[in-house]
Amino acid sequence: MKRVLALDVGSTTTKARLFALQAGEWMVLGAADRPTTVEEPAEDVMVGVQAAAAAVGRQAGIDLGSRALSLEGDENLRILACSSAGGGLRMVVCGVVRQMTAESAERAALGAGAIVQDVLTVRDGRFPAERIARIRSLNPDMILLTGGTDGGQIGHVIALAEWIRAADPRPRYGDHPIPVIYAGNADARSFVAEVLQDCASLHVVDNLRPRLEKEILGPAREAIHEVFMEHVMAQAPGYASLLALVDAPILPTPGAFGLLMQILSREIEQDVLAVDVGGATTDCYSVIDGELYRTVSANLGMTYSAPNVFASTEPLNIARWLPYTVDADHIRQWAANKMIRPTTLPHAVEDLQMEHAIAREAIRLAYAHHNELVVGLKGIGAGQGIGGALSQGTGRQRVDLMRVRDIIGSGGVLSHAGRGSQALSIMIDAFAPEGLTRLRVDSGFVAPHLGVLTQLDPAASRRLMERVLVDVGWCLAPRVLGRPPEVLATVEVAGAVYGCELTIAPGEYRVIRLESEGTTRLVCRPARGVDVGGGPGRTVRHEIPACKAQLVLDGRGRPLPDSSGQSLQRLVADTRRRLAVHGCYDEEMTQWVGI
Amino acid sequence: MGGDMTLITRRRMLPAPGTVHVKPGDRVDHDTIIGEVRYSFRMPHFVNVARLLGERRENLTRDHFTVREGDEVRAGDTVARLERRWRFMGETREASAPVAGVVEKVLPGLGLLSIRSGEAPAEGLVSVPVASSLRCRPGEMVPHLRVGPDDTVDQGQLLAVREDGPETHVARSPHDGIVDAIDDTRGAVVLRRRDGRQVVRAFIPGRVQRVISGRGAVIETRATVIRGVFGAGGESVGTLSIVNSGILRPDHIAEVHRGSVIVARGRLGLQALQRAHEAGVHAVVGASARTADMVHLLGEELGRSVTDESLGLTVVLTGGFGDLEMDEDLWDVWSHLRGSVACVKGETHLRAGVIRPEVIVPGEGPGLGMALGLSELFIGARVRVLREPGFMRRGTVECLMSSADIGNGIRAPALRVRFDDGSALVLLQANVEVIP
Repeated sequence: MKRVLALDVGSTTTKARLFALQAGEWMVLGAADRPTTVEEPAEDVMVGVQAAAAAVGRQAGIDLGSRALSLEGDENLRILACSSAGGGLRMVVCGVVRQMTAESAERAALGAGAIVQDVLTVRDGRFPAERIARIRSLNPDMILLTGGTDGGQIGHVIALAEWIRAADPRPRYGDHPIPVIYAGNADARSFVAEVLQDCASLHVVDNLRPRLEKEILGPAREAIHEVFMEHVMAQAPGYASLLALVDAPILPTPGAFGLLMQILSREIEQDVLAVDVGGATTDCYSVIDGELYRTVSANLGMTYSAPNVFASTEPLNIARWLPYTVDADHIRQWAANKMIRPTTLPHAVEDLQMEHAIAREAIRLAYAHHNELVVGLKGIGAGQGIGGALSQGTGRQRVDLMRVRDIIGSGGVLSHAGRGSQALSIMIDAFAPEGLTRLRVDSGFVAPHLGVLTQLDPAASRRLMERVLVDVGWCLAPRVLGRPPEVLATVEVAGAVYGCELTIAPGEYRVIRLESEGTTRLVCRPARGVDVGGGPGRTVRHEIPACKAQLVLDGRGRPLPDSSGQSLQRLVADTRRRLAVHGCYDEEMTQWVGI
Repeated sequence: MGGDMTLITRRRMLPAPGTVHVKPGDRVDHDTIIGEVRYSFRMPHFVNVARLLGERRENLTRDHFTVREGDEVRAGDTVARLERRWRFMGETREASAPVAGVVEKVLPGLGLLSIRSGEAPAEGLVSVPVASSLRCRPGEMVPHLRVGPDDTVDQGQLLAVREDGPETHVARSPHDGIVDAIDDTRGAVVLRRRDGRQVVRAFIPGRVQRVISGRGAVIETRATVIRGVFGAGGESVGTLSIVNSGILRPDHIAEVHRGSVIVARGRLGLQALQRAHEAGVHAVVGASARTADMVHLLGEELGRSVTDESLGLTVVLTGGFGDLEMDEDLWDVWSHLRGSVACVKGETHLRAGVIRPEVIVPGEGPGLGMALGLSELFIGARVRVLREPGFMRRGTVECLMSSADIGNGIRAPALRVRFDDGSALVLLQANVEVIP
């Protein structure tokens, strides 16, 4: 294998990236985007695929026209693809109890890269006719049906199956029965099959919640991928041709993104956090102890969902990131106009600052949502009855920011930010990382392509990842245990040419430009009761590879002050000082001292 | 947004499989019933008889069951019996029905029995606790109601709205039904659920082009279609009335507008919309509205970028949010259509599978069609600005730039626009649209 053409067939754009192994090194030879052609008038995905491939081939000086993309094509060329065309993989999830089987099913669907359109349960407050109409109106690509532990109650899951049968949903593409993946009570399989025999294509896998205290998501996730490939994508216009061409299964795009995050986590042997801020939705990924978790905040985003960002938070929480005074109605009007004209871009500096303020809140809320869902199993309580188990709050939060060494940002507002410092500032304010964290963005929208490449050559993905993920900066944020001391930590920064010694005081936010050549050595000595990643009071040493980026020393404490906090005024004043003077984030830099 | 005179088709689909009452070629009016769905559901209950009898399921036979398929049972009735006899003593174990209903399946090999519950949960009276949703006392509920006795309501429709300082509290209907009573002692609206029957009407007058078996029909008609950028309030039909003023005010709305569709040139004021609702106006179309006013009308933030609920009034905006006026060209189209019957759909889905609100005016018109679909930018093209600076101003493209830094770090394709007043601006190409 010498070259790999990786395709991400999105809802509106088909993104082609060409990778090649040259002199033992993997390189990106070209990148081209063309409109996706799955809808009218072309109604053939291959039209857009061939246009994008030809364009990327021209950049690399090789012929990637229609002949290269034929079955007898180029033996040195491997073709891979992921897809979210038509809005991605749309699923309805059905389970008996919302906090148990339905929640596990939702996790399985999200982890497989699906958009969960609705979660139907036996007691979700709706009447059967309303559920049936809902299934019908949502027009999902497939349905994940779960319910009951093995040997448990059967009736409820049969009721769910009967509602699916009554709705008789038809897939968007083709005229085949809708795929239903059954991952519920094993004892109910034959009954479910009987109910759905005439209206659905049933795929039975292991129960994803065989016992209350056990969750097995793998078989359901794999079945979703398989069905997506064979029954959904194969029916979309032109996809049969694409399926015949590719050298590995076509993955849902978020699933491919998640695969790359797992590779990254394995590579650095640390937990990883990632966010993809879209117009309608914001996806959060975390890899904790090697396990991938993905959540989709379906109503948080930068365009269609901008009004919902406003609705989901206090206006002051958005205004705190603006260097000018605004009232709530101004923010609301801005968000509403962005919703109805989603393709417009910020022009005036104030407009850009508003967009970035909304982005901070969208990411912060999505990450909070992620933390609500990525917890230990609910519904498990030793010695508790079912009532006690259900009344439990969330399980233990799994993401510990002190253990997260890398945060990856994707999506237009981060990937296309005019300056790296803008993306850095947004991600630090939104995630409030702790300890030493590297922040990068997928500026070329290549992460899904590298994700599908892991199917063929994980090592190539790892090498390319280091090239294509762009460093926007590092953040060193002490965690204070108890009352903060006057100086949180002293930091020695030593580059190849320059160096300095700094202190971090409570509330302070300092920015240092890193040297673009040579390694920068960092020695951070925290005060007693302050943790910078090594444990309270323990010195941390780290080497930062050469990058055109910034190091932020963030002493503002955690959590960052918000509308409910006392110290918000200081944060607002600090933000205004930073952004008013440096409207587009050319942060004031701490002076280097020659060494 | 613009108007387009053409032969159009609209799919009218049932919410679930049902009966279609029309056939291809039928002429339909806007209120002709296309089809209907009836559905009632009984919950299945599986009784693990083997477990209840303490016997392995493979040892059970049909003789152990005391009921047969089709038998009616009450809760507690014996459904299976196991008798054991030894030399000096015996034991009888029984399994009973957990619910009343009809025995659907007897499955000795599996040790199971299924009973189809006798209760139909989808019917009857439902009390909606409106006062508690409004956070007011029961006696204070009535002035805030938006529905009255015998009104038909849809699921999600606003039943009441109460302003409380900066906060707005709302009560919505949990399902489709008819208002049976207003209970101001308990602070509730009592709904009578529909009998599971849902009908779909044609919405536009025309001809049935084809029938989708058991699911709906496609209606075709020749009409002028004007699309908006945002709408709410479901579907309405009425005669078009024109109000050529800046902001639409309450005094523009009179008794003669009952049942009509009002088109206003400027912004729709909140009080005017409220007055229109009270006066029985079916729909109001305007250039813009303030976001806060739409939030008040909808009873919630514009958070989901989807509006599909019934408000009792359909609202469509052709420009956006803020203080805007309609273009001259679009206003001319409306003026020509004055007095025609308009079918207004306020639904907005700003996501994958975008649905924009639209006004359909059926009938052969005086050549009002506008050439839409011209979206390529070129030097000399007339454009409208979609975002500040220059929001909603119109001008002519003087120069196209493949990439320009406009000062905030963003590099993107740009253009220079000469406005009608002689001034010029460099703008991002993404922030303009071509005027056909």
